[in-house]
Amino acid sequence: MLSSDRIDLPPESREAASPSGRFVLSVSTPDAWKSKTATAELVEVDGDERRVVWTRKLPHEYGPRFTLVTDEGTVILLDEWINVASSRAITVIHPSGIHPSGIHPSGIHPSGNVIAQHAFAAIPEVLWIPGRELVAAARHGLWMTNPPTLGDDGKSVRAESGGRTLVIDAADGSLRAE
Amino acid sequence: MRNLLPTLAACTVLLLAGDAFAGSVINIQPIQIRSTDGSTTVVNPGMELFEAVGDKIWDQAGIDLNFLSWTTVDDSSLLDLEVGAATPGTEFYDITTDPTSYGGSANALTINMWFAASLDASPGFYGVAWVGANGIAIGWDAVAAFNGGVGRLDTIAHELGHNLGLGHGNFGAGGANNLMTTGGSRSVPSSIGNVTPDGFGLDVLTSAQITQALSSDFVQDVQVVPLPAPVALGLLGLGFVGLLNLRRRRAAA
Repeated sequence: MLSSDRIDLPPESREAASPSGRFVLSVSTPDAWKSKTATAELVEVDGDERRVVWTRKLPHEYGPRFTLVTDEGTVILLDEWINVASSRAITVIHPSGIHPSGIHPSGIHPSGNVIAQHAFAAIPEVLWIPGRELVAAARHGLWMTNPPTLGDDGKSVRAESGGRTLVIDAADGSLRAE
Repeated sequence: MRNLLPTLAACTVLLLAGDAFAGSVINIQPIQIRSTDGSTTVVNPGMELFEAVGDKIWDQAGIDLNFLSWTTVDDSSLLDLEVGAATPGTEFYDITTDPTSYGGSANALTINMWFAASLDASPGFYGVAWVGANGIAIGWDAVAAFNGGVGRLDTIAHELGHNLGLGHGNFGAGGANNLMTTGGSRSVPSSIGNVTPDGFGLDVLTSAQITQALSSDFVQDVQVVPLPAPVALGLLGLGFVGLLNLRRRRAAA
């Protein structure tokens, strides 16, 4: 009998919508994952109109594992597709911000504005649980026991890990434990 | 020298006690697949880290990995190795069932491990092995490039586990921190410091997996036969004389 060490690659294109459907994030590969990088595009939907808010390349290997979008257009990316202790365990991207060349005329950052990025090492510290315990209990990637969800307020993300809940504030990207 | 003293002391105790020291070893024949003219090679010099990680993982079972000197097989058609269903006529089947024609060892108890550039041209395909039988192929380009170039550090140890009879769903595999868990669910260390018993405690082997692995014919016992007491005491004396000489030289300097 044969056995292998391989991973199923993510679909070549996937989408995540905000609760109301106003914003839709698509993550896709331009080259069937040969380059292992993904392109993300946030679109605002208004009836039949679809306006591109921002587009950017993501450094996550084979893209992020989980993507969530709030009705304010904030995008929260969790982990990389590969199961490693990532330096990009949590990334929060706002639709607006200061462009390197100054305030963008439209008030919209053309590639999104990363307001917070946390490495995996930050998570055990916030949850007050040793990293090896989070890893041992993980079922989705390196540290999550369930897929993350948007909170009832629609302005935070909740991710269960090691018997506790990590709450990510979409407004500023800060972390706290519950 | 200071680091050697505990080892010397331990050996001395063993020798004086007259106890045999027993260990286990797996001999591995690494084979590099190259282009037909030998100009294209697959494995880069970073291989030492992968060996060190493999040694640390299998140390849980008291098994030492002994990598023999590299051999090569020059055949461009094998650079992207066809695995498929591993039926007769497919490349993986052919090289593992006729290893000596493809750079492998003639010793049936030495595990043959081929390093191809890729397996089935699939970027997420890192390694493949027979379960409970001899033969491993590594898709080196994908392994080396994994995690931003850090490498998929535990693939070699994982595939060795298959040759030793371990599967993805038996003997306690299945947890994210277990060496033999399937590739999509296993957490992979980013450094040797996160391999159990250290750091995040990754690539654990259960006691059932260790028992199964140690029962494999590929795991060979190594015996250190105790020396007779007079010989041991003589060697001990020589060691002390050597240490005294070293001390005198340092003092003179």
